[in-house]
Amino acid sequence: MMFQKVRNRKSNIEESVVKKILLIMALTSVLSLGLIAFFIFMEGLPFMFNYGITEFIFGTTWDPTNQVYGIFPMIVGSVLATILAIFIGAPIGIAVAVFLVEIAPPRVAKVIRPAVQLMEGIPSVVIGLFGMVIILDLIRRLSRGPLSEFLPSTYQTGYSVLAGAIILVIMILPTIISISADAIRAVPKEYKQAALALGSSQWQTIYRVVVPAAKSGLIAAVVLGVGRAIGETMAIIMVIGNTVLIPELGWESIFAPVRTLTGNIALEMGYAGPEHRQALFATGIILFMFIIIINSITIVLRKKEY
Amino acid sequence: MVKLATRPEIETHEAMVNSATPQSETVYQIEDLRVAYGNNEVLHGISLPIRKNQVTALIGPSGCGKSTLLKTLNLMIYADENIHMSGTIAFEGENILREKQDPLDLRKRVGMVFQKPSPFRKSIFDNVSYGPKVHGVKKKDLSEIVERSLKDAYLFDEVKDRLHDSAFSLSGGQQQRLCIARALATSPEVILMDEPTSALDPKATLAVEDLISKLKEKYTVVLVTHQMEQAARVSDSTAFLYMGNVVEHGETHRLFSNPLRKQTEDYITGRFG
Repeated sequence: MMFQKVRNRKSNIEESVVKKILLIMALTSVLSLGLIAFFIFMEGLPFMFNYGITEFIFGTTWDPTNQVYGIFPMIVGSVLATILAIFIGAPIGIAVAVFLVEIAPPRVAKVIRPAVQLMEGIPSVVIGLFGMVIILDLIRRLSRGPLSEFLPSTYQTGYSVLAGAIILVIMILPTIISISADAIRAVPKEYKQAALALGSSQWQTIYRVVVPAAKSGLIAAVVLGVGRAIGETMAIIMVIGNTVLIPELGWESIFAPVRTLTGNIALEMGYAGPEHRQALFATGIILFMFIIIINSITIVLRKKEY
Repeated sequence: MVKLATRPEIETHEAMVNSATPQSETVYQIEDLRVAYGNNEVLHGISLPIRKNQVTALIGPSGCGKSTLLKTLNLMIYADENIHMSGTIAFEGENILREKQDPLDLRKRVGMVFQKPSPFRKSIFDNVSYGPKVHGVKKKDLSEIVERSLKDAYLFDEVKDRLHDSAFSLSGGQQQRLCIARALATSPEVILMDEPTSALDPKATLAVEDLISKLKEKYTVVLVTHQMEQAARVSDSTAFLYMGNVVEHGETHRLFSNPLRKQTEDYITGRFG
């Protein structure tokens, strides 16, 4: 009896200690989010107010040596590259997910699924290298070849929104595919059955019933892809040209070299003086806001789905 | 379920075991149908006529093959993997098990209603118009078809003011009648129903049963049910399946009041199943 009691007390203590340790670990993620937000805002917010929020966000010139800090070109760069990436990546990603879940024979799916997961693990700098060697070359051939008459010479280097977007597509595809596949898998099989029994073909069943029923999950997948794309840094610096200029309006803009918000911070932090440094932190605030908004949308959409 | 005191000898009434009202035209003539999943044969040579403008009930304990039989009738069984079939199912005189039969074409003529009400996440109108739309009916003709189908399913008066509301705003029983209307919209000749009331409350069940008895004026109905009372209430003829065989088939009233086989009697009196 004694022995039993002692053991019980011991295991009770153990239990509460383990619980507390796990709670602390769980809190670290919340805490680090809070700390990161706090430091970025502490460093960047005073600068933003002193400089003027509108001039900072909508200023079209970025010239740290003359204390001019307008990040509008970078906002345009990030948004352009992201939109183009989603424009290419979302249809491909959703199509792959539909194929994997609805059409592919199990043997084929067995090969594709792990390949997609492996793709997610490729370091972004490696994808960047691939982009510098292969994609830039292809785009250069296009812009210096058949398109050379239509493009200004600064748009013919290969470094471009298009190159950045293609790199982003490679990086966001695994996310879009795996979340879309979950959403499609969650469509009740009764829907499919009912559609087939009404005489619709497999393809009609997919695009008239399955995909509409998975809509909110698919949108969540795309929005999450947007979040990843806008935050991507390393690979995109390597291919997008990093020129602080707003591209001309029109189709030519996809061949324009631009700089992204992330690229701005990563490229200049190394040698920035005090005020310049604060301006970069302020750039971080804008990026932070973008990502918080996008991820919140995802959370709301995914809650709706399940 | 009144039962005669003495049961006639089976052998002498062999012909009666497989008899229904012979005057009525047959829609399906099933002959020696065998269905196997891999090496597991679930239907062991079934022969059964399904007669026009009648409700035919398929009853039997779980796993007897009644649902498998039902889904071979519109070839929904092709959605399952690793199936082997032999025998013939003549639908309007043509064997649908022959290779060049197009299942999509057949399913347009043979509608199906499932256990769980399964309206699409669309409006009431879009649910009913789904089938005709898929089969290429022009947009301007859709509202007429929707109205006719909903009227045939005796649902029109309840939903006519909110055709563009979500189908999920309807009650469970209404949803099931919507699914019946959706199946009617392709103007089928036959409606297959797989335990259509098992997910419904008693009141909604009555409404659906009421509808089933009315449907036979225009359509032929094959009803799988695990409730014998339901079969007795709504069907004209009943087939009792057990372990993949048709044990007995005949006019419903006769089968329930005077079963010819011992197994049928045991099942309908609740001794097993």
